[in-house]
Amino acid sequence: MTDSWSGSRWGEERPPDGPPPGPSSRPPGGAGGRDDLPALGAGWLAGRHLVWSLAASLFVVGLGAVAGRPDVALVGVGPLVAAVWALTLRPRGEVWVDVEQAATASGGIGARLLLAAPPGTEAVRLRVARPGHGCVEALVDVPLTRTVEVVAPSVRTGPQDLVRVDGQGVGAGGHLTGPATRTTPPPVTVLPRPGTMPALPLPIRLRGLTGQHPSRRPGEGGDLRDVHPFQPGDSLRRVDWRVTARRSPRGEQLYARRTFALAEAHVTLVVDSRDDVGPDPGTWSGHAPVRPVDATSLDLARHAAATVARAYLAAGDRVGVEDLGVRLRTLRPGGGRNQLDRVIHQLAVLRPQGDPHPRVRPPQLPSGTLVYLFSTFLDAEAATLASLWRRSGHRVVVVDVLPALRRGGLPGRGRLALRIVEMERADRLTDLVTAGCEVVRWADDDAASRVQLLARQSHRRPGVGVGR
Amino acid sequence: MSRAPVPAGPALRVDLARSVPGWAVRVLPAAVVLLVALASGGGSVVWFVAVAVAGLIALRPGWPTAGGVVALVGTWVLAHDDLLAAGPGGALRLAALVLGAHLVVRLGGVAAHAAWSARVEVAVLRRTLLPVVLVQTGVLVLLVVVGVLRSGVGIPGVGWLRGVAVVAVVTLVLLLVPRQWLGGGRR
Repeated sequence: MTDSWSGSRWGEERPPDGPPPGPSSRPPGGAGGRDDLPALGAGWLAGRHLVWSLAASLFVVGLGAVAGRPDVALVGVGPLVAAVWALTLRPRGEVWVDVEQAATASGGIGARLLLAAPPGTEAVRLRVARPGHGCVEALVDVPLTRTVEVVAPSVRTGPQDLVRVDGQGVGAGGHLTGPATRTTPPPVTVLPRPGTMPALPLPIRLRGLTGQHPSRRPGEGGDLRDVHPFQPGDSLRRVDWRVTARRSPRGEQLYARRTFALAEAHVTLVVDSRDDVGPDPGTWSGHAPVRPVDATSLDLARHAAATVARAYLAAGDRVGVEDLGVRLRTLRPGGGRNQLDRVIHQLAVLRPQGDPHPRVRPPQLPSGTLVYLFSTFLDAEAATLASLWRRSGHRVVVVDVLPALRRGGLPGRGRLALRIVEMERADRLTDLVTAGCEVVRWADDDAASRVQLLARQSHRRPGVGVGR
Repeated sequence: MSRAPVPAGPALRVDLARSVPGWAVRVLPAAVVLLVALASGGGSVVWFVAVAVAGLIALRPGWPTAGGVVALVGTWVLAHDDLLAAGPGGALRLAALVLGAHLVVRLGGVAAHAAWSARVEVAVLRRTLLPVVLVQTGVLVLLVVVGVLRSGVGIPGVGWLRGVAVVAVVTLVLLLVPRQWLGGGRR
């Protein structure tokens, strides 16, 4: 910008508690009560252009009059009339700007700007800004009211600020400027979009009497288990008359068909929200912001966890969420569509908070739970907890959510430090595999095929599906 | 070893109606200044001043340079022969100068609010230029009336008209200029 926003009152902020002064509370056109109307032209200032053009026009007209040269006077007549027009028809009231979240576009965050300008406003000067995106300026036409859509290209999820908008009315050929308004960026929570999973690894033990997974326990709904002599408690509808006629021609013994029961899986998504690092190690210190088009580790964790949750909940299983960072953010296991909404919202609000104390004991999980642990494994705590869970009999799928790193541009010492960190991380992941955990790297292209392989392995595993 | 700069993030997308870039809006009044210089048919001095003024308008649109163009054009017209007496060609040239000076003032005001990277909706320009059309229509009518009057009344009759014009201008100044401006107080 080459010039300041004249007549601006940047220091004024909207009261945080009160509602914004919208058109309903104070019509911008001054349609309210007479006493509420601002004075004519209040707040709209004549700029230097108007002063100088008016002075120059009067000078030229006077010069022409004194010299008896109507051709000279005619040069100043047009700007003189225009300046008088601008002075007498000043807009009344001020431009009102508000921001609300629009439907999130694909690959971006949508915002809707609501603009209202008093009559006589020729344009509204807008400055829309967002951290990481810079700012965009525009002179827009606002015939009393208008809506402008803004899209911020971003792959980031979770809590973040929408956009900050500065607005200023411009009247009569840009010669008048109204008071400037600034909106505080409204906080929004961008929900992760779950993807699809080709197959589902199952826990070592299935639980419950309902679900879609066949268990080894006799019960209702599953495949044929065996044909067994009729016992008290067996339903007469289960009597297999062909087998009975073949094995007991005289009818002294009835035979009933028994089936396997169906069961559900309990899945706990453990998200390590202590880290939120981007693909550029130079931003890990927090001094430089992560670009909005770069997914951070927590974005990957949210996406991965939401994908896993949707797949299991669609299969009728129960899913809960644990947060390694903040202990109060726990979602109890549940099933159904509403649980998916709760899980996604719970994942969306996860973010690093403070410096959490290291956990001495792992979070208590129901027996037979399939544990998905989403972490960057930049420190040993998450790996230690995963080993403890595995040792206590849970099946643990470790999802490495560290983004693919960009090493270019790192200084020599930075590269050395990164190499040490990567070696330690690789050791931790190797130890986890040794301890019996299954590792999936979510940033890789073959993450889906890797999960599919885990699912096939789980069905071959001895004892899988044995209900207790 | 210095770090390579991280590429900037993508810009915000603001869904505007038909718009033009801000640099075009800033260059437009400067171009009109050059057209005015062309219409004046002036020599190297005129072109030097025109280029300087055009550069100032484009690079420093916040400065009230555009208003000064009216004074410059008026002074140039005064310094030369009466254009209305030069026949249809002179009248046409005068009309071009009058229109150009007004356009520079109007577009310079809009350019003062447009950054190089900004976008300006075409509707804004249309709304800004519409009053120019109305006012210039009146001015052209006035020009024709003045031409007709002068051809009828003749030069000797201009003496008392001049006195009336001076009085009218002084009255206009007293009526139009806000009291604060004359008093030197706050605007």
